[in-house]
Amino acid sequence: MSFWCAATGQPWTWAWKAYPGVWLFIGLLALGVWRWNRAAARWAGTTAPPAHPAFAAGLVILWLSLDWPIGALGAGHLASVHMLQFLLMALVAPPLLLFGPTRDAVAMLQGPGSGRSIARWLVSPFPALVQFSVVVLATHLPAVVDTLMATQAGSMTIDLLWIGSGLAFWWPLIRDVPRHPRFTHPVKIGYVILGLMFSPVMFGLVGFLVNSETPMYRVFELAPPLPGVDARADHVLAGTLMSVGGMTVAFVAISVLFYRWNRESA
Amino acid sequence: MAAACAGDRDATAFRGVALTSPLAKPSFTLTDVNGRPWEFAAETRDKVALLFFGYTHCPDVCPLHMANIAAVLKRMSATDRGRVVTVFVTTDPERDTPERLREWLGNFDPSFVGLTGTRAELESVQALLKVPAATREYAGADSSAYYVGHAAQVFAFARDGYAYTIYPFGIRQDDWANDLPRLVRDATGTEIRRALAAQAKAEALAVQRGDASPMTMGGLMVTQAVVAEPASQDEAAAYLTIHNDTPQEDTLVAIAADLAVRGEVHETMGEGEMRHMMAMPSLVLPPRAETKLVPGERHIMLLQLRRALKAGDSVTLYLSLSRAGPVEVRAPVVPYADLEKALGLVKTP
Repeated sequence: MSFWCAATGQPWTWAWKAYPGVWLFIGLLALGVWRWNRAAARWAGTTAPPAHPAFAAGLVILWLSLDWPIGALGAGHLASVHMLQFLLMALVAPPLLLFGPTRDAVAMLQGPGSGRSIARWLVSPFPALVQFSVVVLATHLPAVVDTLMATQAGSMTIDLLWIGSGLAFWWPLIRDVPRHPRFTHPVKIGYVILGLMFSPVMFGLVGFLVNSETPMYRVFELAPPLPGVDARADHVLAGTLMSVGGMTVAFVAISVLFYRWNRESA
Repeated sequence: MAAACAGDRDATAFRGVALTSPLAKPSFTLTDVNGRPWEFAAETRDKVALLFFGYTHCPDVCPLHMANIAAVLKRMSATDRGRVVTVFVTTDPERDTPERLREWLGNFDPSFVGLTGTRAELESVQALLKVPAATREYAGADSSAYYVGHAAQVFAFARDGYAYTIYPFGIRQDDWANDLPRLVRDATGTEIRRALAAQAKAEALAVQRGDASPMTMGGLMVTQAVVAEPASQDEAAAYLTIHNDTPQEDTLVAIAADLAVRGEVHETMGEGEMRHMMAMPSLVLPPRAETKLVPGERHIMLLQLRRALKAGDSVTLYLSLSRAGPVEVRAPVVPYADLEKALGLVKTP
């Protein structure tokens, strides 16, 4: 039994495998948000509302993307599934998870303390955009992927970086940025365009994945092959997924922002 | 020694592992998928012949090698492609029927040649190439479900009939794309020999400077291979580091050298006057760990030297690993005073 999914070099089988680290992580995340909301309710003298359905959906998506079979296939077999994991962990689950903390819980971040200051800075639009772009670039560099995916700790590091940077990136769009000038809808739309739709980092990675004559990642090229799957085609599919997935998420986000902007203007 | 490492690549270098002595194309005849005799030397004359021993039920090495070669061939010009013959010799004749061989190879490239024969014929061909005979490894009680342990490298015979390089497991499409066109375009082998000689010289200089690049083989990497200039004319000690970056344990089961009759791994036991050396039957290489063979601890002894060794010479060590297969390493002979520097045991400014 392994704690976390990683590249093992073993041939793929459809025999189920347990990854207790994933269950522990999902459980701790749910518990952490629940306790944060309870503490915020006590602090505000209110009662904590039940968990938002979007938060539960975010947890389920996160669990599916980390656990067998997606987690195992993406960690050491298919670049395209690895990319699907990135999309789910960094672009789909985080905006849903951000519905988890209550308004009071977010308001607690406005209090004093260096920890809260750092948290506020991390979720401010510019630092969030920069760190998201840096994480996306760094965690897709061949040397980094080939090195980290070979160990459970390395694979977990990549997953946690995607989730963390995704939460920070989506925070200014979903939640208020404490003690920060109002992040208006037009600015939010520009933020999404720059960070997702026309992100130079994502465009560059897609270009390399789709146009490179040989597979980028050693870990996926030399993994025991799945019948009928060609390593080069797998990499092209990974690039296409990043491009189409990123665009789709950006399009949905911009549509929602337009709708809200229009409704508030009216 | 060629570096097949993805990191610091020289654009002019061959990515395959260079053989210290070019291997002449063997002459053998096996049966092709149509049941006709297929004469290896005659059928591959003036062509680059990629020869591999494998089996179609293989879950990893065989389909990867075939897929990577096929992918690179597809991108080559029709003329160059026509000068490459990929020959797959089965090591599992019972399950690899001609029909299965044809179908399996056809999934990669219909031009790939599948050969089979009797177990004795196949073993004699493996012996010609000096690779260990394939063995069966049973995974459970079912006698029909087994893996076949076999050599994991592709022999690349250039158009002049000699193999100068081999391609172990771990070789990538990028490496094939670098080497294959160069093998195809050199009809006489002159350029190949020149390039490999230059590479060997550069590697030897790097070892003497103590900054040799590593030799990788199927996730195993051999670095800092050196032989200490011996005082004796009969025996010498060799040292190296083996990095096992794979998730599986491997075992060093045998050592040979071109300039010695025998090679053994020895372990230094005891202290003071009780200090003595004891031969080890094998050396386990733990997964994701490095195993150092250094002075005063475990090391290689080269026994019954064929000639006296002096600084500046080089010895080819042949390591037999149970999983990764044979590994060939060139180890320069260095003066005893420079040994620690060559082994990276002292930091140089």
